[in-house]
Amino acid sequence: MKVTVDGRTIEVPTGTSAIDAVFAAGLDVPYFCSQPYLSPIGACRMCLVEAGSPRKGPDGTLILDEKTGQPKIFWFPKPQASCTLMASEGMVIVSQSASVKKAQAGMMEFTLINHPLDCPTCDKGGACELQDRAYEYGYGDSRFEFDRRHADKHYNLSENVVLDQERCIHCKRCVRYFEEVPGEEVLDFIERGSYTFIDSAEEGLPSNFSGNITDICPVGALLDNVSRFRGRNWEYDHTATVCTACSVGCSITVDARNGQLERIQGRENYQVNQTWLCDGGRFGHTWLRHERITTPMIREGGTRAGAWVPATWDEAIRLIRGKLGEISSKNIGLYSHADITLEEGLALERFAAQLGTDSVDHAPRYSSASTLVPPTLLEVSQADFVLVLGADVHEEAPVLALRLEEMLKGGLLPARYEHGTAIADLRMPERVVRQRHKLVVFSSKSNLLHGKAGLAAEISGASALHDLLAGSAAFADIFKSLEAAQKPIVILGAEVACLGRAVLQEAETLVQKYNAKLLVLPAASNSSGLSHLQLVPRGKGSSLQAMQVGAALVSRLEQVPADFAGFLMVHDTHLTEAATRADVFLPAVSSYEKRGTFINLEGRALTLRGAAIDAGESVDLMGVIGALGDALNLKPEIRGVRSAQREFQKRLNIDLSSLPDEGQIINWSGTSSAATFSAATSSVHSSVTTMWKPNMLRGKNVVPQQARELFVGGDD
Amino acid sequence: MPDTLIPPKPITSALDSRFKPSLYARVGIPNSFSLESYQAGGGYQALRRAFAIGNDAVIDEMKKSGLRGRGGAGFPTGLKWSFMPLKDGKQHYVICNADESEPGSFKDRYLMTEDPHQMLEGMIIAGFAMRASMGYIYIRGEYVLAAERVWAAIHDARVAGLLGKNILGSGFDFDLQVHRGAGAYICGEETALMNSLEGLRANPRLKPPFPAQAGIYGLPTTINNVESFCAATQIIRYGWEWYSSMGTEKSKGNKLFQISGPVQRPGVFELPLGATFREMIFDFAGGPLEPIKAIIPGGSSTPMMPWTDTVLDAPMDYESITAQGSMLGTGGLILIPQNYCIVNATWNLVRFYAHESCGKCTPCREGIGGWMVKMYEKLVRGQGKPGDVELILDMSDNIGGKSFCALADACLGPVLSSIKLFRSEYDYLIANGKSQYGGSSRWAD
Ligand SMILES: Cc1cc2nc3c(=O)[nH]c(=O)nc-3n(C[C@H](O)[C@H](O)[C@H](O)COP(=O)(O)O)c2cc1C
Ligand code: SF4
Ligand code: FES
Repeated sequence: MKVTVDGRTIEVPTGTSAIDAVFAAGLDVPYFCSQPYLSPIGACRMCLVEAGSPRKGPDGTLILDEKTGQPKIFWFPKPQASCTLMASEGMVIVSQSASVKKAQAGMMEFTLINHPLDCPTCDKGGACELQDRAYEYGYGDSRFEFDRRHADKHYNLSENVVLDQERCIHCKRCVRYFEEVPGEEVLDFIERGSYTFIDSAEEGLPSNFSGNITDICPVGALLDNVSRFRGRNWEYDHTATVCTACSVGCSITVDARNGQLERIQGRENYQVNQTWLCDGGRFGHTWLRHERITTPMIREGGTRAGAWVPATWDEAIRLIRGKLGEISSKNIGLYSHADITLEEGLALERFAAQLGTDSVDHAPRYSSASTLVPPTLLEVSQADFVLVLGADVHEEAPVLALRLEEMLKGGLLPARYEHGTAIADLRMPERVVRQRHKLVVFSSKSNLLHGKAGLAAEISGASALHDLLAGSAAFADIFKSLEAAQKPIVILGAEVACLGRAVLQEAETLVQKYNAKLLVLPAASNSSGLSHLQLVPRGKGSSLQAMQVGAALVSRLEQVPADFAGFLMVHDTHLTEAATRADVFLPAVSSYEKRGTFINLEGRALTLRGAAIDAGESVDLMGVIGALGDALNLKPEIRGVRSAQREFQKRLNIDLSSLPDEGQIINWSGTSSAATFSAATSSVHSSVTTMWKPNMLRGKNVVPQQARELFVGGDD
Repeated sequence: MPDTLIPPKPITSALDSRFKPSLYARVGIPNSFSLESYQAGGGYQALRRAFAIGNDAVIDEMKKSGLRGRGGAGFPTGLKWSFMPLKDGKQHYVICNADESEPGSFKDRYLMTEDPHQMLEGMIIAGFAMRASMGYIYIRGEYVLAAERVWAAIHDARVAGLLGKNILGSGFDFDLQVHRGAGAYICGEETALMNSLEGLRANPRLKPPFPAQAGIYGLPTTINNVESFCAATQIIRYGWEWYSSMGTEKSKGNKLFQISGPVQRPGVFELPLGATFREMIFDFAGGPLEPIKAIIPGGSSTPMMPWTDTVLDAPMDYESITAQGSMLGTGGLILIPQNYCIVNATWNLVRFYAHESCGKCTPCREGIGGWMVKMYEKLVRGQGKPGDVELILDMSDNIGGKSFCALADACLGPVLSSIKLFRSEYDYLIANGKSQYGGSSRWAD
């Protein structure tokens, strides 16, 4: 479809809104109420343009202009809001004329009459759409001479989000966001006319996804309370990286100031999180700055009873050399958390081989992984039937719940243009009725997804799976839906996945029977990546639960077995319970500070980039392996991200150093397969729940209890 | 009526002997609102006729009748009905817009209190024509008696088998519900009304999709004014030929006009379209009680017209009033007396619109609700400065045609017309700090 914008004729897909046509033509129109991924509503009236289109006469041909012989353009009598105007073949749009500019400046003046203009004390300053647009499109002055509206300025909607009702410009983005994206109604306008204000009837924004409104608020009305007054936008170092709090792998921007992590914001990844984050991923970061240890530490007097004293890396290595010299390298255990990068995982695998130890493990993990190709997140949102067994999606993979919500709405996804996602996608209406019959949830305990499903019950996912396979008559409706569905998906959660191979086998049989796809929610953020490495105990090797080794390196795991008596090296950011029993403490970088690759639940490789956070002498797992190598006079095979990526280039024929921003689904076939997993003996599901992680549900910042006890104070 | 009654020349005056009141014919009869009284006067004959001629023929008659919506916008009713996707097999709805809140309009109120069955019959016919099985009547919250009478009428109709399953043995099922508003003018805007009916905030919705595609609960819906449904009853009862024998070429039929202000007999009068202002004001309302300077012809949102012979002799139909720079609207005439300050009068209307702005869009919320009303308050307090009128004009330019719905434009009707017609009064007020005429002090503080 061809449209002409200020003399530039461009080709756009049918259904394009006029505002997107203008942007597609490389021009700009100011807008406040429209927002990618939300329905257009035409409320702010900033995006006014002049428009006209040709018309067909009674004979079906275009009416021609008598003078020019060209199709005659019939102009709309009034300026049109371009966000809600659908472009049509041959439409002519004028976005830069004097009358359009006047209309926009006039609207700007109206928008500002009741705005407090307290930019100097507003966290949004420097990144404020209103500020920017006022400079670009405003009169620069106001003729309004009356008192401004006054309202509540410091209103904590929840502990994470603060509202300034005076700054609100009534774009309704936040209200629409809650209704359309997580499908929760927590905010709305109260009162009417010029007294309209935003408020919630409920205490504390009961949503797992409330923080997103701070990203989309065009002004400083809704602000991130966790980072409030901690920096001006231009002072932050912004780092585009990926959240590793769960296996979804949402794209984030980490904002640090003076070497300290202050704020996390959502970043667009159309394939994964659109632009949304869960509250856990967004607000759950202040644990990092509280009571963090950033130097190696050793014990006073050299015994575990001794108090911790800071040490240099050299001192720590010397100590390790002394202790490890006394035991066989086969008797050293290497254990790590499952959120390490692929590169760290490979380094660990290769180092274990070098040491000749069979005692390698990572946690949390399941004893067995499925070899079926999982659906992508986009496929989830476009599924026509989803069966969830034994999963608490809001807890295990929060943003997956948003994809399920999209599925319930019909799975319509915005078109993408060269200027990005459609600003106003006219296919997205406000208030879509959810097709609840498309979702069935069974899990032992009721969770938030139960309320969204057409059918949900508190029965264990495993027994439901068993009965489904047995063809139980009680599930007749589900069989019908599965049969009728073109794109069905089964999602298995921890409750089922931890039960081992046999149950997984049942799930595989079920999905194969109905031509469905199977998504097993990984136990931890990089579980799907690590499952392709040999990071499980081999032969007589000792698992994490057993830890029958003379010395152990434990990286970022909170606990070690109570009867472990060997030499313990703990690599962590904080003095965890495991650390209280360690002989040497090695400071660790957090995922925010790492470079490397992470594989999410779809099997998508995503790139982590280290933010500008001051982590002292902390190192990643590769750094620790290097130190151990020094101590043992070994040269580890993998000593850095580069050498690991070279190895992956060989194994997978993929260059992990230059992945596209959206990541890339990795094809592991032909590499050592996940089937090796079945060799692992025990299920380690218990560690899923005992492992520390930020409380996903409300984004609370949880510092490990032991660390709290060791230190006095802490300010949260 | 027999064909012989088709007159050679259209009826454009209520004084024409051929003119027979229909919409308002039963007002004044004792117990006119009861089912017995209604049926005694031939009530529900139209419905029987509709069943006899079939649903498509009803739509066809509505189209031929030339009836235009009486809610203010004047959209052809038959055409609107034909937009419904008649064969999609979905649930369809009919809604009656009884939110009548425009200052100057009060016809729907009496249609509901005095003759509710006439409206119900029209709605049942509409439901039958448009394959709807459910209808809602959205009644303005302040209309307590109207709501009671309509409820009672629905009850009686149900008992009499005129509502519910298999109405009059026709096989057609239809029922009605009353919803009372909570006092917001914006709920008269059809899509805001639907939001309100669904329990949502009363903000207007985006069009398209139009109600006929996705109305209430996202399903095909047709919404009409009370008087439009009453007119439908009369059209189906007496046939489109009779109906279109009244009125002018493009404005067919008869209409209820209302008049308020200093006249002998303020009230509701039934006249054919095309009758003159003079006929309405002098022959029916008994003439003004004091000198008049302006007429608001169709409810407060329509621009004021000067009290001149040209205006008085102009026919009241959609086209001629538009040609005079105003609108027929709801046909609610308001007369503004000579010795009443026009700025004060306009302020009163601006206050209304500022108070009723829904808050959805910027030009109305901030422009009218936040600013315009303050400008008028300032003028009326005698604090105006030279340049204020120019500022109001420029603000109006920034508001006009740029708001989401017509409410903001409705406010500009009186603002712009009063400045155009009575600029000297504004200037006098600004120069002298007080008006040369009186005003009401009711809202002055
Ligand atoms: C702000 C506003 C208020 C309105 N109020 C009313 C009203 O009170 N009653 C009414 O019938 N129509 C009202 N309308 C017009 C309706 O939107 C709609 O056009 C009408 O109900 C259609 O019915 P009709 O075709 O029978 O006229 C209003 C429109 C606007 C923009
Ligand atoms: S013009 Fe705008 S604010 Fe006013 S009532 Fe309509 S939508 Fe609401
Ligand atoms: S009206 Fe707000 S962006 Fe178009």
